[in-house]
Amino acid sequence: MLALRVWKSSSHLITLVSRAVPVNIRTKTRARVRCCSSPSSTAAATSSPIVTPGTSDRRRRSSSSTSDRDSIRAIRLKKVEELRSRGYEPYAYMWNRSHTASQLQEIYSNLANGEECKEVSVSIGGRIVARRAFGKLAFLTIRDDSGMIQLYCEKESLTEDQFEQLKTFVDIGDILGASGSIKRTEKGELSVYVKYFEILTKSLLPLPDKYHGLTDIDKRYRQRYVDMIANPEVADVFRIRAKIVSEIRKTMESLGFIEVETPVLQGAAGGADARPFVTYHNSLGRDLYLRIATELHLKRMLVGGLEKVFEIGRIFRNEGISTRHNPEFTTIEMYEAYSDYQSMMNMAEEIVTRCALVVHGKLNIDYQGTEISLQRPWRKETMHNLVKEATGVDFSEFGNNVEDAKEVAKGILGIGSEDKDNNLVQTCPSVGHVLNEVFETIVEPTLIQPTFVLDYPVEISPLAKPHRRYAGLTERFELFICGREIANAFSELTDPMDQRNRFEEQIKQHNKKRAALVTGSKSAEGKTEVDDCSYEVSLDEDFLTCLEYGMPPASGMGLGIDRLVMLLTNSASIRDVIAFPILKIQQQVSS
Amino acid sequence: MADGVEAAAESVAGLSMDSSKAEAPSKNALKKELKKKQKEEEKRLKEEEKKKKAAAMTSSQSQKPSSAEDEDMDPTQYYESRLKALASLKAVGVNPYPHKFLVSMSVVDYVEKYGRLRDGEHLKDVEVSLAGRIMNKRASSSKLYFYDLYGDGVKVQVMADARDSDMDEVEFARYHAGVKRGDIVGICGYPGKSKRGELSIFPKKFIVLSPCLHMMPRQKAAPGADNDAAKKNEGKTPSDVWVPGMTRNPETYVLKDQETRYRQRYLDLMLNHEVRQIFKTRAKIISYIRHFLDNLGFLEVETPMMNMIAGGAAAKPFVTHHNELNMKLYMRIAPELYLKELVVGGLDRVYEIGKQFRNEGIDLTHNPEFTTCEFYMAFADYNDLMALTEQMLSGMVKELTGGYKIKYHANGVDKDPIEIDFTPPFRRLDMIEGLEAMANLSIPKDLSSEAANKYLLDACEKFDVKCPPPQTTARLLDKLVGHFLEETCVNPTFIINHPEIMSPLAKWHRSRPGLTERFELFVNKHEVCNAYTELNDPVVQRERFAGQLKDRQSGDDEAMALDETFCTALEYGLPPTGGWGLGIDRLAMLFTDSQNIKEVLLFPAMKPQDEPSTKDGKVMMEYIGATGIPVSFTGVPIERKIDFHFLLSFAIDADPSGKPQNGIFSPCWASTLTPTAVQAVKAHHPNVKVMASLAGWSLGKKIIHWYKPADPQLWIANAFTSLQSLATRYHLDGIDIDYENFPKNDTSFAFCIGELITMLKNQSVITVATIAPYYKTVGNYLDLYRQYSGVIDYVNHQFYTDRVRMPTGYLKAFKRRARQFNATKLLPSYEVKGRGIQGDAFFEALKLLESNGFEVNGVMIFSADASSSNGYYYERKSQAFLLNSTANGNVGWSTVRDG
Repeated sequence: MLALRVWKSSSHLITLVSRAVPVNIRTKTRARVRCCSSPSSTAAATSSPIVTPGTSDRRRRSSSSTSDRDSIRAIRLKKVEELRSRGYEPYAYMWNRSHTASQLQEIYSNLANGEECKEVSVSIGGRIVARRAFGKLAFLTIRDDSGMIQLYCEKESLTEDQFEQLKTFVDIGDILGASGSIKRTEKGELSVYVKYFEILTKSLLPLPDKYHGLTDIDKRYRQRYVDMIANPEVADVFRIRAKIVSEIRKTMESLGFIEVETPVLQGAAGGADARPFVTYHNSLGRDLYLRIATELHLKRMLVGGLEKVFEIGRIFRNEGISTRHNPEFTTIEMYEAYSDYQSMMNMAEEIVTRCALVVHGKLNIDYQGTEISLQRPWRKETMHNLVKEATGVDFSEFGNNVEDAKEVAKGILGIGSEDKDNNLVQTCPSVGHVLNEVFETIVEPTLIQPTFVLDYPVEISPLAKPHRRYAGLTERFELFICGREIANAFSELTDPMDQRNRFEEQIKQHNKKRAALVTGSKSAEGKTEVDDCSYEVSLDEDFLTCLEYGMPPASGMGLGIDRLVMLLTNSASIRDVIAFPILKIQQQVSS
Repeated sequence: MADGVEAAAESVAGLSMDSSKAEAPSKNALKKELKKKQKEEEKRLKEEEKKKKAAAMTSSQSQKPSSAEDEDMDPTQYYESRLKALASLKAVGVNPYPHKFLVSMSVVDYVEKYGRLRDGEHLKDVEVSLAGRIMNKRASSSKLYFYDLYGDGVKVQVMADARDSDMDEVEFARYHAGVKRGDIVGICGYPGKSKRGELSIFPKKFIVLSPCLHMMPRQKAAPGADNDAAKKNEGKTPSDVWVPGMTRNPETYVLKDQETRYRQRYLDLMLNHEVRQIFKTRAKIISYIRHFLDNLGFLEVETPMMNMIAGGAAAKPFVTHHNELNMKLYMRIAPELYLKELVVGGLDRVYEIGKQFRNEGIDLTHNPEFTTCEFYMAFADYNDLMALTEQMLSGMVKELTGGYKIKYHANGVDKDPIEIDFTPPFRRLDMIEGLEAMANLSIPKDLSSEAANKYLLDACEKFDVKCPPPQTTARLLDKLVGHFLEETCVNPTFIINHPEIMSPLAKWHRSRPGLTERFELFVNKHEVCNAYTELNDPVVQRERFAGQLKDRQSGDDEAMALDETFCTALEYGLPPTGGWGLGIDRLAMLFTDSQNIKEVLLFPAMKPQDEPSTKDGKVMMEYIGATGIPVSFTGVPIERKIDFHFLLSFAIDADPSGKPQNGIFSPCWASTLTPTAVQAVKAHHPNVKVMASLAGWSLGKKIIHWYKPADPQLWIANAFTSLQSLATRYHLDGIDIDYENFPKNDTSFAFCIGELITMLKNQSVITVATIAPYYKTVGNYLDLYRQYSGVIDYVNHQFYTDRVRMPTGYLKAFKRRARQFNATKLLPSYEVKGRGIQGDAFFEALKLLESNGFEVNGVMIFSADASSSNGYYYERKSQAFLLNSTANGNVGWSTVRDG
């Protein structure tokens, strides 16, 4: 539940008041009358009839609502002028609130229907989301950060001028400050019995129609604030997100980790295999890359003697967008000296369960209709075993025979030689890569309950330490929940010679793949693939030098915060958990 | 050598405590007993030493070098010998990088737990395992080694005695001989304290976990007090470490070299123990802010770092490109607009702590990426925020330092530090009133008027306050405020109520027309916070953006761009809101006594150390755009392995009629050479640099002269600003000086141009500067060259004016010029379809130069305009020549760096 704290301020004195309030008020259903236009706006009075959703209808409606919008805007602009001419400022400087809506709901929850607390004086501020006006009576519903409350406005208890102002100048969408006593109506609605109000901010544009405006998914992301005004539960996702990040931070700090900031702009982008963004620094006169991981810089800190470090920050990858991918996303990466990947599994369980408890108060959660049990311990299984279990094939039997492995893999994946997916397997330079292709296609989607997949092949793990027992494997795991990779961790490779070989191998593979794709396909599709690999991968000599100074044995983990938030907020798309996701350039709809 | 003596003494002390376990009846008796034992020990040690020496003699050179000898090796030898040692370990199946060492206790906890042992006390029954890095090694004998082990910045002594070890003596001696300073080791052993009170661990097991292959930098043993200071620093224990608010002096660090400290921060952290405290302080600052805001019910959010528009501040953004979406994106310069959109959306109190990016030069207070905190608070105004700021900052100082005052070396580490007092409330200084009072001015009330501009212009002149153009009223005011008000703001001071023209996002003042409700907090004369009552009237906001547009058109690059999305959001209604921004790096600098922002950034942006990959620093230089015909970069052959400099011809400080503009340069090169074209050629060819050539022979029919500027300082200031703006617009890397007509007896040229180049280089506006004398102007250019050769990278003398047509003549001319200018900076040159030597004879001349011992370090060609019709024959052939040239270029001049 949200803990709300109110900051009360008078001109010279600051006092802090904090009070915990349950937040369920917002979820109460409430009859809402009209959302879009106010009765006084004549042009909008011809509010469009409810139209069944459909592409042609939608276009028609959007064009008509544009003209509605413009006329409403013109009318409200006139109101702004009119108010100013009467000596009111329609954009106020401040408003002292004594309470938030949910605090009032909490304090007066026991007030009986029809009862009034005449002696109290409260003041409140928020956006008008509904209004009903009768002859001498008006009901407004306002919403603030915490929830909603009704304003009970009676002609007799307001000055003549104010009631007039209320009827003529106040629209849905305006931000209002109101003060008065408390009353619960006969119908049981807790209300502020308004004695005085001020228009704090005059809104110029109508709020979207509850039933129409929000079907426009694109607009929801482009104008997130409109989405939030219309759908208060949207804001809850971001409240939970903040809570999760805060919980992670608390966990790390309680374990003695120190938070650091490493650069976003780098001379070479390393620590992962991904296409970077490139930019240009004018005064240095050189290209810079946006980081694709924080790994290599955080490891430098281990060498420097910070034994437990972490960074929560933005990562950038110049890749496509999907329900799981946004070009910029947030991760936490952590590194701990003298530990190995076993201890990181503990850490992963600890972080995810603590976050789940803080959000849901329990470890059995629902994600898109599936119940996920986060009860520890979580399943641990090696990659080889999982593939064997799913396909019956034991890839460790292939040794170094890539061609045989490819043939078998194609059989498993049902790829013919003419298939466009053929390239995926065909370009694999090693058995490890083939195994990974099979794993990603066949096994990954089935890992619904939390599963640690252990011991990845060395060929696809250039920064992980060789397995202490099994040749060809590394001490690495990935954590999967709901078929999605949530975390990636390993015992860190500390041998600089080995690391150099791995980097060189990685670059060789990258260049080979690039060359193969250039010569292999000339189709339009091939072109985008070529484009995918067309960036340079370079050796980070500085990092290798740093390793030569000696890095303590350590383990590290990267955890995708957006994906964790998706899981814990039951969100289907990454765009639901990022306030302003990157979107395609808006297409102009041709008429 | 001194080290050896000390080590022996210490070993004596250390050993004696071993034997002092027996109960002693009295202090005196104990002392006597001790002395006796000490003597015995010394005797034993001496004998051991003798034996060892004898052994060493007999086993001759096959013995591994001792650690003392290691220090005499050069770093490359050392590195190679360590690599060999590793390889031989791997060859016999030993992994020098073990997977896991179980640590039972951190060094910090160890010191905490056993720090209170009595001197000489040993806990033989306790087993502890520690790990860390060895920062010091002293061998007392082959059976006894002392190490300093560091974990998380804290030291504990390791006393490895063969008698405690689980290895036999031979193995023990061999193993420890291979352990080097810098290695990461794991130790299992028991705790104890030496007689002298030094907390130690006595290992049973001792394992190298990660060897350090490089020789660890060591404090150079300097005579006198310096050395003492260093010792003191090296031996610091956690109890006397630096805390925020105290002064620091990096000059006393073990590792002093700034380049190394910033480029290899891990070494800095390893060797300079204060450094970790800087970053801990930084973490504490951020953590304090976070808790402070969380307690007030603020919600931490994340807004995009890549946007379609870079808004919310006035600064030059980084540009990047999303491939799949084929979309140009800007790195954010401020999160302001997005955060306000969230307040529109109903999140009444939001904040974001994160990176901002500005494509600006790097200096003592600027890094291209930096961290800020911005918060927005609905229903609050700037008065509330001032109170909040006081509360936050004074509370932070109190928590970090225990008091309200901090010490800071505002005038350099060699001067006494100043004291900065954060006791609330902070001083408040009304901007206009303050300025009028301090400078005795009476500024016209309507600041948007011409009269106000004129008045402030005069004021600047009167007080000798420099304001390079464009001299907008906002900029003039800013300079005056900087001069009169900010200089007085050492203790935290709010400068409040800025004029509207300076604050496009702040709300107009409720009672004072023309002003806004805004404050900036200055500490030690630097801006730390900037906040205001937010402008939420969309109509007024649009007007303000329009006003900014006017300033942009008058040349102020720092004016703000209109963000339509943001204006639309305001039309949905932003509640009355107070908004606030804080520079976290600046604050961290104050609390850690750092004068350079690089001190508080783990990995600050650094200028590239050298320009690699191009062949020996050979350069191809080509004038382009002089004739005004539509010439383009595409088509000019560019050899990947040679630095290619295009010289845009020309930037001229005269108006079209030829009237001098007092240093204000405008581009007069072919209009086809647009900023986009420059950007494109540079993007395709990383080895290309583009420069502006200044002046040239004529503009149209008007001959361009160097005119002696009446006020050289003003000329320099104008030239700097106009070239800075040209450099930004055209992505320029440098300038070429090509004035060709001089008045008699001029001395101003050398001074003005020399100072200009120096300034441009010092402020990282340019990286390259070249000069182009011809036979008549050599005197003028020599004046310049003699005084400023340090900032001049090449002399592209116009040999084609030297009236030589044969290779032998060319050689003679080159010899003559090489005596006047430095031969390695001098480039041979060729005029396509022009004067002097023509055709392949030029390449004969180049060969002749080389056979006469000259290094042909590059070629200058005039010009691309003429070459396009002959397929760039001379460009191709010159580059081929440079590529095949066998002579080594001079690395000294090929690395273009400032200073």
